[in-house]
Amino acid sequence: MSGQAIAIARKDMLVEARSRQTLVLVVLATLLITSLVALGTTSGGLSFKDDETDGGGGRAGLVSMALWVTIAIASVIAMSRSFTSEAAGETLDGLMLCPMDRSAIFLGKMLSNMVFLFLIVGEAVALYFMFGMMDPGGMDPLLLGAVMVAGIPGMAAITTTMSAMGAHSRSRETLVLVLFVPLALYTIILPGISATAGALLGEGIGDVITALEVMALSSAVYVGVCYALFDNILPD
Amino acid sequence: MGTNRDTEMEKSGPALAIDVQGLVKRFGPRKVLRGVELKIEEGALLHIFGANGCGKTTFLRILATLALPTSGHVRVLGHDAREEDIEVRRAVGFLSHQPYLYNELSVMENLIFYGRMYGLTDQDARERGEALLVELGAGEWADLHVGKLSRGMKQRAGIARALLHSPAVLLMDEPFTGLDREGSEALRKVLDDNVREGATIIMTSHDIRAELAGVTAVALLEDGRMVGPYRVGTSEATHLVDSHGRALARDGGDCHI
Repeated sequence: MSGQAIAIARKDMLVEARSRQTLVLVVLATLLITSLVALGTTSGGLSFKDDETDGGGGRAGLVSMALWVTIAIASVIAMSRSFTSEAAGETLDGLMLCPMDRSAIFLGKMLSNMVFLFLIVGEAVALYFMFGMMDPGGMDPLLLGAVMVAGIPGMAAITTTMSAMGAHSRSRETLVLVLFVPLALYTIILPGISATAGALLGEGIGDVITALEVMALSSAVYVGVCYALFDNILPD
Repeated sequence: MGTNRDTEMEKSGPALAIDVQGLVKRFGPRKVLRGVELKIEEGALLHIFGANGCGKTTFLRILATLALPTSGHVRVLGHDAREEDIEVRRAVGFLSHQPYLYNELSVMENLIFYGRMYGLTDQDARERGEALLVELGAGEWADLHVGKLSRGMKQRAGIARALLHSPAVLLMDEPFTGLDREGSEALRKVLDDNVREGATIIMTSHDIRAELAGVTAVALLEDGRMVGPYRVGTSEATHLVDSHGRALARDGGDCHI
């Protein structure tokens, strides 16, 4: 990754840390979702099988689903901070004036979005631990990390590209990228829920390998296609 | 510090800094530029004037590779703006109506960020940034967040950003707009210094009477076509300036395409 892409990512994170434009919103949304899940299950408002009878599968499935809902919501909110804020602040032209391949802008923005999503996952996991919704002894943290590493780059690539399209678009062909949203649902989020549940239950990698492979392959395709098409998305 | 200007000046390539042939730009059905021709030698300070909305900004954006021409050819220091856009961007400094600075960062943090984007080390960017800010009378603002600056202060910081990488070609869109007298004088001195060092400068304004000091050539952008450039002191240049001044007084500076 070029030094310019890393400089863009560092700048984005510094700007976000100072403005807290979306961070506060996403942190609060994550807190709300995790609280609702935790309170909903403990108050008896929802009926789940006891952990003893289903081996914790119901709880793991719920937490896993809520985690990916959080990632999806964070991704949508993150769209506003990538390019929309650059366009609103009229700094996008400043970036486009810089002597680099414009795909470096994509890489830098994607990197900062990935860091943003990993931070949100970290917050959500910490909250689920705090609410007693995750069993530190029963789960496989390495596998959980692998699931996130397989899925989040794809989500970040789509978020970055959609954000650029939202700011400006000069090519109708790139609207095909809109198709990525439902595709991401089937190729990253749903396998992600399944693999995350497996990690939370402490299943071996063999039980979730198919889901992991689908996620990793999809992420690679999304990153590659978004990178290749990015030059056509920026404004003329 | 090796600069883009050193690099470009060392080349034994074409003496033309800007070479524009048959440049056409459409926005939908509207043809803003209708076959613009322009050749500028290295080291010139060209002032392009023309009524508001006549395509001056669009023309500069095409030279800076921020916009693509509909047809025609643009070469900057011998580099094709479409095929060698990265080389063109490396050679060009562009000052727009917007300073392209991040409100959440200090002036110096902005300059260091842009320095990284142009391949400068942080130390080089800081030293060059400090020198430029002092030259522009903005040395005391280095640590202020851009969001807290007035329009004129942002404009001066934006000038420092545009000059940070010592561009061989400076494109300035109405650079004196928003500057007070002190700022205008500082900018004029910076422009003089840059011309002395061999930079090529194109600046625009809607009013030719406003800024002629140091200008070596003038041109008029009218009805999407370039009239000139004429070397200052020639009868053509004098006639162009006089006739534009009269038209400006009559029409108030708005384009009537």
